[in-house]
Amino acid sequence: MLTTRYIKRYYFFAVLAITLVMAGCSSSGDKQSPQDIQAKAFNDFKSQLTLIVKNKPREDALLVIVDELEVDVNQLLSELSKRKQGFEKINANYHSTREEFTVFFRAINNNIQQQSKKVTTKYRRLQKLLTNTEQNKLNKYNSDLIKSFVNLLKAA
Amino acid sequence: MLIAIYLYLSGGGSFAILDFIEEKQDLVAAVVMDDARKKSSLVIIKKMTSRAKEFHKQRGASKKQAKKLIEKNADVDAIDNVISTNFEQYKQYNTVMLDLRFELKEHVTEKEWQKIFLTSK
Repeated sequence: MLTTRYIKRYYFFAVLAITLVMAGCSSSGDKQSPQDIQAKAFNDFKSQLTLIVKNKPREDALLVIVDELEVDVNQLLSELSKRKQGFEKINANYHSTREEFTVFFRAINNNIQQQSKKVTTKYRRLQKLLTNTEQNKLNKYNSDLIKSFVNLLKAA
Repeated sequence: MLIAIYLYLSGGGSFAILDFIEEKQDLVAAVVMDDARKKSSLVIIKKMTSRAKEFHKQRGASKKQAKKLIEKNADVDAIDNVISTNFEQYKQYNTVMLDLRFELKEHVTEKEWQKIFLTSK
């Protein structure tokens, strides 16, 4: 059975994923590239994870999931970026048909939804392997990750 | 912290992909030369703006609802329901905005369209 804390954390990320799916945010003033910021956020998260989790088999399993999560998040961001660029391209063509828009949106939204599910599933696995205390300690790094995703969206 | 980040994410600019068309209002006014067509085009852009505002209001309400459910630690199905309702609203919004996009096209020539939409935002 899910604990209250677990539900909170799962939904924190579930809502994030949905927000990412629909998002296109305002500009940022960071000097580092959004990709660099995200890579750093993932590395920081992993470094903290190795310090916080004292059980080696669990730590190894968690690191594998974080690496997979990074790949999935990047794929999700890429799909979101493709949707924006693809739409702008079709729209710019005066002769684009309604069917072209429909086919495009159907395909890209399907990819985005599937990718979003992958991300939340991975995050759920991650949370299952962490104790509540470990999750609390990782929270700061978790929010840095979220911010890095938002930064990437801003740049998309 | 959960809610703080959620609100932070909610605060960002435009979330719907078709919104950028209504942001081209000034360009439409400048590029479409014929007065009657310009007037009709601007009426459509106004409709788009109004629909976009309505959609953002709906989305804001969904977010508030989701936030409340999170605070109450509601079960998975209740929150999934809010999220899927929001996605349905998004699909409807997209359909209406596309209709308006094609309506707009009826009043704009190909050359004018290119001037409006081939430039970056």
